[in-house]
Amino acid sequence: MKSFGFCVLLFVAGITPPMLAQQPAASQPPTPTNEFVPLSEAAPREVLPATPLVFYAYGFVWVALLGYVFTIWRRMARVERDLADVQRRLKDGGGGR
Amino acid sequence: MQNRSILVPVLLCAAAVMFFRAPFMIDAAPYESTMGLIQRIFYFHVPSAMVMFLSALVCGVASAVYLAKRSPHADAVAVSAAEMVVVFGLIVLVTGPLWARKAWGVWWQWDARLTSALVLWLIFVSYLLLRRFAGAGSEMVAAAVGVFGMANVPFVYWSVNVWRTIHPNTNVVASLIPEMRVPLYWGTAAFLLLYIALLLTRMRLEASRMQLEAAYAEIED
Amino acid sequence: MGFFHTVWTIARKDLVIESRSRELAYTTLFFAVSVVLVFSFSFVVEGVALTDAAAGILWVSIAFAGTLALGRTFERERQSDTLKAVLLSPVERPAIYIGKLVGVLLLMLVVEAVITPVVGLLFQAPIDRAPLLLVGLLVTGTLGFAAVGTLFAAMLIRAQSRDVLLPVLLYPITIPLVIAGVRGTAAIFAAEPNLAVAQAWLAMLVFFDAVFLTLALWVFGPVMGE
Repeated sequence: MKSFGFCVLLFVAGITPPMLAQQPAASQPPTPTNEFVPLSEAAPREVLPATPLVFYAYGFVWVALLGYVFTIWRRMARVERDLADVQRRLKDGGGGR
Repeated sequence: MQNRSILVPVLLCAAAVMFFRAPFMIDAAPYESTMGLIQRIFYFHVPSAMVMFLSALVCGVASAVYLAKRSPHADAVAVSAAEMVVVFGLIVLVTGPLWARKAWGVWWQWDARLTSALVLWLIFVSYLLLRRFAGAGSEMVAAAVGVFGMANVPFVYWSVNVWRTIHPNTNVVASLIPEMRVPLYWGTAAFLLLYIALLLTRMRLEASRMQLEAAYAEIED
Repeated sequence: MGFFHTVWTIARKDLVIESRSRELAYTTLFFAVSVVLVFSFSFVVEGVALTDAAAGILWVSIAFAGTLALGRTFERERQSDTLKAVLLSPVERPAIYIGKLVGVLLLMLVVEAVITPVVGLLFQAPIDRAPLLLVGLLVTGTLGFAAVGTLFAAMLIRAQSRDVLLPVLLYPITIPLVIAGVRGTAAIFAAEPNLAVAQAWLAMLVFFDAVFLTLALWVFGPVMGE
């Protein structure tokens, strides 16, 4: 439970900076780029909202990774429960074989 | 094979710290002129893609070792690496279209990189389906699939690449200014640490499973 | 028993069985033609096929029919448990693999010999424009598909859910093959044909076949062993 709370805290901390980041005054022509040119050297153009997409992308990364860790944790719990069960049965029935 | 080492928690903490710091570094990096904010996705899309291909390689090598030597350890590495390919591949395939929607105007373009990633992802999903549903003795078959999957990577890439592509070229990374390169390397390092931590954790699960199977075998005697 | 002798014995066994009942040939052929027709209804609009539709439909039919043929060939082996018997005999494993491969390859080539003219007819595709190149593409593509397919079908013989797992495993791995086949064939069929492009795809197919045939030969022994 504690680790889950810690995960939630990390998640919130992780997503705040992108959410607070400023929207740029640049446009999105669908041309292929061969190198990156910093904004300061480009002419000013108009913009479409990109923040939600970045938010979703970033959020998805967290969801996917945490979800995967969660599935490992659950499978581990099941295996360890079965293992304890079998070991108990071995111990009980081990004497008279 | 009870692995109570300190390695996994340490790696996870290191990765968590790096991920915590990453958004601030990304925010401090300058905006790219044509894409603006959406290009931020690049800082975790690219490291995820690198980890995905690395994991495919790991799975292929481990599968080859398993075919040659039938070592259960190699099999554990192979299945864990295959799951990593699927998880990180999913991240690549979701963040890619989100980026594409803004940068190119469409969710999907049949371009080389993303399509190759999709095909590779499909191969390793089929690997996991095989292991899940084929029943006993599927490790060998899966190992063959792993080897074929890894060998297929250059072919998939070449064949898809001959089509026209609007995905940024490989010389992009070399042409980055330092302010952008640093967050990218930071992100890559963070993802690598995370990958190793996850791989070791998954292998621990595999080790427990093998212990359980050994116990079942013993109880049947 | 020598390598080629083993190959010939196994291939001949399959051919003889097949020539007696012709079950596989007829059913696979009919299936392939049905697939071509079903796709034609989807891709022909007002009597005109979409560009490159002919090439795509041809290769998809080959892939589907091939999967069926592979499944059926090894189902026969499984029912009589003959594969295990062959594996136990003192012959080289790779020879067994090649023997089975030859049988599957011949069956698929027979099917292609029929559906290529059918596709040419239904889509007015110029199959006689560069016959050697087209045959080259078909043979190398089929060889690659059959190589990977024979290996996987043999490996899955004792697995559960093998009917659905064969295509699940086979299709993603043979995607580069299908891409090369379709693009090469489309380059030949196009209104302005580009034979150089078709030749480039043919070269890739040859390379693919070489790599995957070698891999399959290497992997077959360990995987089938007990």
